[in-house]
Amino acid sequence: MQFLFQPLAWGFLLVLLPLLIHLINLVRHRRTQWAAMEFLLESYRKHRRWVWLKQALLIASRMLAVAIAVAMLAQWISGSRWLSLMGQTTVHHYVILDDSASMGDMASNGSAYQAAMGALQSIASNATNRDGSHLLTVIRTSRATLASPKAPSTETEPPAGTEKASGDSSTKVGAEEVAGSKPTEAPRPDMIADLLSRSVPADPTALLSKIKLTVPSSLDCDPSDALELIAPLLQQASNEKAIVYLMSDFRSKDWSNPTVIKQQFLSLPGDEPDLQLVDCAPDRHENLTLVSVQPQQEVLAAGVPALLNVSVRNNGAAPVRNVSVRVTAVDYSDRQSEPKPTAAFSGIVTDLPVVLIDRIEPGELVTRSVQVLFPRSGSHVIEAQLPPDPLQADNSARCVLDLQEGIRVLLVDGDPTGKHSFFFESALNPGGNAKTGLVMSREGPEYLRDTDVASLQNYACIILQAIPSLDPRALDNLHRYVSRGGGLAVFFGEQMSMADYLRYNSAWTKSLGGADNTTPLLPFSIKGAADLVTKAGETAPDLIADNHPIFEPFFGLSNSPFQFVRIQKFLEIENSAKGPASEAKDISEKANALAWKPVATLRNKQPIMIDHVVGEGRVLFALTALDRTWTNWPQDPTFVVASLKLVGYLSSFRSPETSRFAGAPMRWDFSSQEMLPEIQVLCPPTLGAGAKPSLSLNAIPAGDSSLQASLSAGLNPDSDETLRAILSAGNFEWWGITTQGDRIVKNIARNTPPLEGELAKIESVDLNRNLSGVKFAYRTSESLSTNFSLAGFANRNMMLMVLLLGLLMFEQWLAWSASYHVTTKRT
Amino acid sequence: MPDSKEYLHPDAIRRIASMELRARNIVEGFMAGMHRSPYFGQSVEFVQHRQYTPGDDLRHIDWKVWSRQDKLYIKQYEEDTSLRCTLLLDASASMSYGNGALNKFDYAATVCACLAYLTLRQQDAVGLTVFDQRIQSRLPWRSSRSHLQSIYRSLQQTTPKDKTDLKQVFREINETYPKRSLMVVASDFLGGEAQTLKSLAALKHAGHDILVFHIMDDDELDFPFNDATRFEGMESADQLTCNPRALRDGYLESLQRFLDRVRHACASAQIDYQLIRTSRSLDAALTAYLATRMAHMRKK
Repeated sequence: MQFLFQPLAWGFLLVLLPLLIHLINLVRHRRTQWAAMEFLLESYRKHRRWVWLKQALLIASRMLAVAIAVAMLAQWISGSRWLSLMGQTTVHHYVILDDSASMGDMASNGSAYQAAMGALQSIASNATNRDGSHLLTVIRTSRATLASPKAPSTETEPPAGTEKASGDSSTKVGAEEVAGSKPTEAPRPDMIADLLSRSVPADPTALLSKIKLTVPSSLDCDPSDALELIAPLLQQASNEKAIVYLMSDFRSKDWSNPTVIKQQFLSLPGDEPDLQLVDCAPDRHENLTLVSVQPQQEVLAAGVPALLNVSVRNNGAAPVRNVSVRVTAVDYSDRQSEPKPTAAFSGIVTDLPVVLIDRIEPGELVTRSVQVLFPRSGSHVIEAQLPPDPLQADNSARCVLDLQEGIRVLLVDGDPTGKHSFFFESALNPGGNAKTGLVMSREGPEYLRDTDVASLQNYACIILQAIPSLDPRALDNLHRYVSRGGGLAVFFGEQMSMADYLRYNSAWTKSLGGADNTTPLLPFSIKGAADLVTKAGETAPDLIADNHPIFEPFFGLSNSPFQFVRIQKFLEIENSAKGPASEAKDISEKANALAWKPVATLRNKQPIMIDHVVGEGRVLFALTALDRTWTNWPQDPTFVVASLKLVGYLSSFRSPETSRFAGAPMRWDFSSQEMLPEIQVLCPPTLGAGAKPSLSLNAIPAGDSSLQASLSAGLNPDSDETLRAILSAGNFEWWGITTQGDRIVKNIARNTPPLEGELAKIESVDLNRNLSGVKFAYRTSESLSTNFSLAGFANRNMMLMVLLLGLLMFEQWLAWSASYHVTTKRT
Repeated sequence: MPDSKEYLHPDAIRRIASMELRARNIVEGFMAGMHRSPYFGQSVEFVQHRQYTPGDDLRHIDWKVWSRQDKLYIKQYEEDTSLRCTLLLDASASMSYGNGALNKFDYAATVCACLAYLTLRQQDAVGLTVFDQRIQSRLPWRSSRSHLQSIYRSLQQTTPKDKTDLKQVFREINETYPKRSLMVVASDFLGGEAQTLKSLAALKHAGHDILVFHIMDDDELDFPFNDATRFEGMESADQLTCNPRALRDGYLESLQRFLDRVRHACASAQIDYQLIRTSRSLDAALTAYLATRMAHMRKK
């Protein structure tokens, strides 16, 4: 027999109390001399058996009543097979445990995840009290999500640069990375489940000890992947009674589109599995979420002040005043630095001025800018933190600025003297104190022919100016460079002839067979140079900018910033006025056509700048020449701004990520000639741990003279530490050793998805509506636990109570019957 | 003036240690409360006339009446001989039970003392026999006032003990008292009740008038015990530890059957029977005695 309050089991000794009292009463009897013994003995002989029986029954009923009362107080949890409510021999409890970041909400007594743990304990404890054998399967949603074929892996992760350098642009794990992912091995429950079909012993403490050590992840994950995992298990075990528990916080954001999960519930195999939705979280409360920390500009370099946007959202129901955001800059430029497992960061930590937000309305997203300057190159970290609140997971965000000494830009000038590059060189590197972080290199067209793609990839972008023709090899290099995320800008020259344009039309519009992508570099045909006719009285500016990143600084101005820009000549393209999609003839051509769009037009509606997507890179065509006979734009101040934005835009497709959401795989590619393959990863500190967890990785060869070290959840993480690291948000320090013996660090930032900060809960009415047709029971974890848990305990206690009441009534009747309560009558 | 019956209550009697004073107090109080003397005069006194019937003794014909009325009437007189009253007091161990003012023996002894006083006051002869399983002491009939002191002394010196064997005792009494007399038996009749009743009937057949005072204590009649009690037999080695309330009904039923048997046996043998609680006053006993005496005298 087991009891919830085991010490109270000593109370069973009280069972002897009625017997003891009876014996004491017998010992303490009065003695009296009695004359009429014969009548007394006669009565005794006559009633002896009945009196003894009633006395025995009375004592027994009192002893039993005491035993029942003690059992109720001590909360008897075993030996109640006769109370079992289960009709089946084997009961399989499938527990889907939501361990998304919002489950760390501490608004109530303990976190929602701890409440779920309590409910899990109750289920296991209660199972031991019921009839038949019980099996327990526990699957965490984060594990199921990461193991899902939809989840990203290091193999399927696109090369760096395909994602715009924006923490906000990365979506939840496994969503954005679906495109281009290769089919992977379907996850099996035995690889994912924390407990799989484990028999529940009489004392489930040891069984649950491991799962109880887990903490909420930093992921935003729904239970659909876990449901997919248990579906085959339900199918295989058709002879078992299945109870599916979904322990979650039931936030509105997770149930806004419940079609998929509803369908999964409806299609669960088996004989109508009992579906229990267990709500573990408190109601919505005030909460601030640090949505993102991300750099404003695309061009980031050492010594150049970087502006970062810190965004905070008020997910509560009331305005919040005087919110202070603590921003920390961590400088990792010191080459003498060592890994510091006991410190929050191994770099030099500098607290920036606190960002104060005076008021945030409910639901409002407020963004403030912070300027930070890292004088030297390195993988630097910026972390922002909100004051503590019940949900800690969304109170911090960070980004990594992999700064180099300068961003290399290649200017390829068709003129040997480089006269066409003058304007760009002046705009991008003005000299003096104005540091742009850009490093110019000017080469001739032959450089493109003689070099290779790897060399070209050292440049953030390439700007071609007045190149009449290119060698096919140079063209192939350019195509490969762009396809792999490079940015290319093409400016034509004032001296180029029609023959040059025809060469463009023939060579640049071909799909290169050897290239990574078959999209041609030039998606249109050039008809030739044309003059922009100025009509009398026409006041519209010659250049009309579209909504494009390179003109972003000019957005929202009341007057056109290009008022003084004059364009005399431009290049006409075929059917330009109809737009790219309308002139497509078939699907493939249409797809190509949709890949380019005008970003600036002339007042005659002719495109003057065209943005074209090639592979993972961009080609930006300027259909004019930077010559005063064609346009005066280079002399206009807007040219400087647009040039800087153009370089930033073109280089953004290959720039390293600054941050992503937790759970995303991490990878570091490096040259085997520069670094040793052994990598040490310092993971974010875990709560209550003294030192940061450390992982040791061995990079594997990935092509010629390159190595790749990766860290992902996959199906079989190397260890619990690896898994915990993957599920965590924070800064991951990847420490390597160069072949020269120097330590080098690369930081990778992982943040909690800001959606996890939205704590509004779905109403039970909405839940019923969303899951109409699904038979389920919705209850809170408290009710599950206090019911001891569960209905079994309630029923048992209720039955014990009824039994006790019946027994006491029987005892009263028996006592009355034994003349214990009869008033004395005189004869 | 206080109610004369107050002097008859056991609580009041208990305060009087001397048996003599006790008897005088009771009897005088009892007599003072009576409106008319229930007993007839002393010596030979005319009582009444009745018509002559054949067979009557001619000596009793009142010739003076015959001479005046020419009718024969018989004169009837009071007994001129003294009444012989025998007091039989049970002094067995069971008589010592009592939780009230007087235990059964004290109560019975008081009754006997009172009856002795009353009897001698009427110039009757009274004797006393105290017995348990045998006759412990015996005082012959006497009608002198000094005999009263002997009776008092004998009552005060007697201590209840031993068992009761009324059968043997009554046989001895029957043999000891050949003349017919009024026998007053004060006992609880516990122990061998069947043989006892047979012996009583035998006494009756021997020509004695018998008045039975069945002395019972309140506890014996009501059995008011509540707590666990160890009952130890006063005339036997029986012991019983029990919850008295559990046995109460059975006990009362058994007791009632016993009382019914005694009452029925007395009624069958034309024995006057009086069940007396030790908590009640003694007037019932005295009244019963006088009524029985009158009946006894009429028969004579």
